Amino acid sequence: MRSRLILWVLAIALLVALPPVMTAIGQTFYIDLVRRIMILAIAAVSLNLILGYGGLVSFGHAAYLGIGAYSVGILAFYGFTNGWLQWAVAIGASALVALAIGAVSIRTSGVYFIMITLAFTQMLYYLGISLEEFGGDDGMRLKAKSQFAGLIDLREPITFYYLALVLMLASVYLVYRIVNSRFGVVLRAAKSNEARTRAIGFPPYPYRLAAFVMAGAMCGLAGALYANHTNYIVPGLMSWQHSGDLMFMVILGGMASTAGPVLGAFAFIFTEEFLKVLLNWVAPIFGKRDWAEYWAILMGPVLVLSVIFFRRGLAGIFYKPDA
Amino acid sequence: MLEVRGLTKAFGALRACDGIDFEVREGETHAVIGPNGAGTTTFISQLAGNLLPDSGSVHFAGSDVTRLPAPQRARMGLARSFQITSVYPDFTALDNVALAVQARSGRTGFWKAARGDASLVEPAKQALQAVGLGERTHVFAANLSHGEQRQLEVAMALATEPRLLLLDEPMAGMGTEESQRMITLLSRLKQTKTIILVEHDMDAVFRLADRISVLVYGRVIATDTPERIRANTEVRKAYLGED
Repeated sequence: MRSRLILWVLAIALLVALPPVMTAIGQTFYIDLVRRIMILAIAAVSLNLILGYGGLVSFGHAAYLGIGAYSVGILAFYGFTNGWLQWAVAIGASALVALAIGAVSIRTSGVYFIMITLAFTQMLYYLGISLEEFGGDDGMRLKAKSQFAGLIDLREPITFYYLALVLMLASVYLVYRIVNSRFGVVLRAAKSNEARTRAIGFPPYPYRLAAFVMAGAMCGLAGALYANHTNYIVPGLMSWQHSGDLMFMVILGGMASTAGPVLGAFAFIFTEEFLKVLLNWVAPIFGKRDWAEYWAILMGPVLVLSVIFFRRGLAGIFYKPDA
Repeated sequence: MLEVRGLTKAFGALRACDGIDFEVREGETHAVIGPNGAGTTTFISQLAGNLLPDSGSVHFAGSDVTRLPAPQRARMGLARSFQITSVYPDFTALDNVALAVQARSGRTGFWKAARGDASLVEPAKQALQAVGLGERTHVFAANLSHGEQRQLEVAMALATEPRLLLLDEPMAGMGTEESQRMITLLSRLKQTKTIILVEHDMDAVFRLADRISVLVYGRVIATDTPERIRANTEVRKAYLGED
């Protein structure tokens, strides 16, 4: 327990120290990269609540990233740039959509659940494409970053970085509190043994639905952050590949572990970036110029190997069960 | 306490339960026995609410629960253990039982931390003590022996403070020594609890039961005290394989 606390403190210290160090050595690219990772980590942490702890294999979690991002983008499009309003709408809209999708899909299980969550997200993806007014397939530029009336200025890259860090840590803590609450214990119990949970007197459905909505809302916030990070909102954010990426972050990092999804997000994106650099370095040898887009070909085997060798994910390296 | 009238359940042409009348009195230990395929599993699934009957009724503690799903019946005080061991393998023994305690403590304090909550942990420890697992509280259920897992199941059923305990073959798969320990445990429990005991271990049944109902081909052919069941010629013929 204590050693894990020390690891957390070290990791946080590292993340806090990163911007000044990178500014000093002129590598501001990494501030941007880590900020993106931390935003995606919030989405992965929220997915872990339902996938890792709830056993709900949602193959459509990117939907809420999209809803959060489009909420910010569309409100900004119509001139509503108040960040509190935008982010509240992003969270609220994601929660509502999660409620609707969850209410239907949680009645199913196994492969059906995976397919239904995927189907709903594909519907939203094509909805995004069909919204000509908001850029359709090409997406839309964010007119202005969310405004927080002098309190926080998101145009300051480093301020935004620290905000993302704080929100990521808050989301980790929130999920930690949820899964260790009475509610969370029932959620985990329903994953562990559904028949037993019914026999004790807990119908799993409302617990799963509540967790599904919480995860959606939290991911909606990540979407609002993501829109501000990229300044550009595309339907591709809701594509099934993106949902798959989020799932892989959770699985790679370690399902049903506190730090797992954060580790997974870092490992996933770092590996992706590394592979892109590697491919661009190798390409000239074969007389080609740009191979970076083929990074996924190498990523696949990496993920397969990591699943084989790290059964409990990266978090499993630091964490052994107590008894 | 529990009253069943004309309970019928068919799977295609097979009538697994064929108009069962059955009654459990407050405080008694009522055993249900029957040869393989007699319909005992179908019968108790309907008592617990895991299966809905085609016709007939189940009344529990004065109200009609025929159409009520399992979780609601559990909340009314009908606790069951499973024929096949059913615990939370990735939870500790204590967490297994604490969850059962939480089930009866209502819907308040949902965001409170569950671990280390004395109002959950203390009754859970008592229940574990009562079944003889007091020393094994922090062991993961997966690491308990088969016999201990069965004891854990009884502790979980007890922790919900049930009005009626429905024990589905608590001795299944146990060695002689483990069975004896379970019989001792149940004979202590039966002094304060109303119990339905489904069991194939006749030694256990005749030692524990106040009354026995014999199920054959989906019908109750006799309900009586152990002595008179033992003497009942129809039961001997149908069940004990004598003619």
